[in-house]
Amino acid sequence: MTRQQCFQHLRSVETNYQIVHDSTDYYYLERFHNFRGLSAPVYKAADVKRCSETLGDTFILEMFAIFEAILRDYWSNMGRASRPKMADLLDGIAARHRVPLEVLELAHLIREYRNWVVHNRFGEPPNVTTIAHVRKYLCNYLSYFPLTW
Amino acid sequence: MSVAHNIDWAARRTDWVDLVTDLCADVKHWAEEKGWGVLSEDKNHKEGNMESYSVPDMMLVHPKGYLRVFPVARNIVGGEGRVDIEAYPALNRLMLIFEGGKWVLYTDSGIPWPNAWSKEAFYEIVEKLQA
Repeated sequence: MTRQQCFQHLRSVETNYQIVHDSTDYYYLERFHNFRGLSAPVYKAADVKRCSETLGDTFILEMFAIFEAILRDYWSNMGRASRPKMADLLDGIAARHRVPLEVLELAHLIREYRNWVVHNRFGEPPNVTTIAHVRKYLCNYLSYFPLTW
Repeated sequence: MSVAHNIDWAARRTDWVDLVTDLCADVKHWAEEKGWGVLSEDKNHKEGNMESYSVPDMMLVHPKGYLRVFPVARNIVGGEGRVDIEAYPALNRLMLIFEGGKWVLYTDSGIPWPNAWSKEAFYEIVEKLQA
């Protein structure tokens, strides 16, 4: 890898953000404020394609961050001062709440997918299909939590 | 060879179906003794290496609301099977965990219920879950 490639890699993330930001602004102004004659944002086809391909992962990372924060909040409310690794946290809470093995395994699958994305998509990706599945698997795990804590 | 290959999944499935069926028969009998309505329907479950199985999923009609008694799974973390008792509309929930050859009650937070599982405990929790 060259230094130039590093710059390009980081720049592509900023471009992804810009495409989504400009597109949502455009939609908002035209759809809700009836602005007509606005120039639609213009981007290279390759940038839009890449943005579309990585968008799911971006939101999966955000969703998993929320999920992790919920688990850590629950853990500290259980009176635990420790800060376990995410894998241990999933197992520890599952043991306390007698979570079905399949539900735990699917939550781990999402954790592994998050790790795969974070670590530059190295190796074979865990078998995760859509963000809807991610939400379903994480919510299924959370359904074994009490109503309040 | 993985641990899963050493498990007799067919026997595990049969034992679980028998356990849940017996448990539901007890609950149905106890509810009927109090004159509560009981709706029961067999539901299919599929867990990992076990063949699919069908066990009762029950709804008790209590004067203060509904109480659902339903099997969650045989393969769980920290136990040998789980059945939930959940009140509606209160949404309070207790877990019945099969461990050490008997059913043990736990609160939704994972704290052991003070009384052992029995007819009297069942009547007690029905009242408390609806509170």
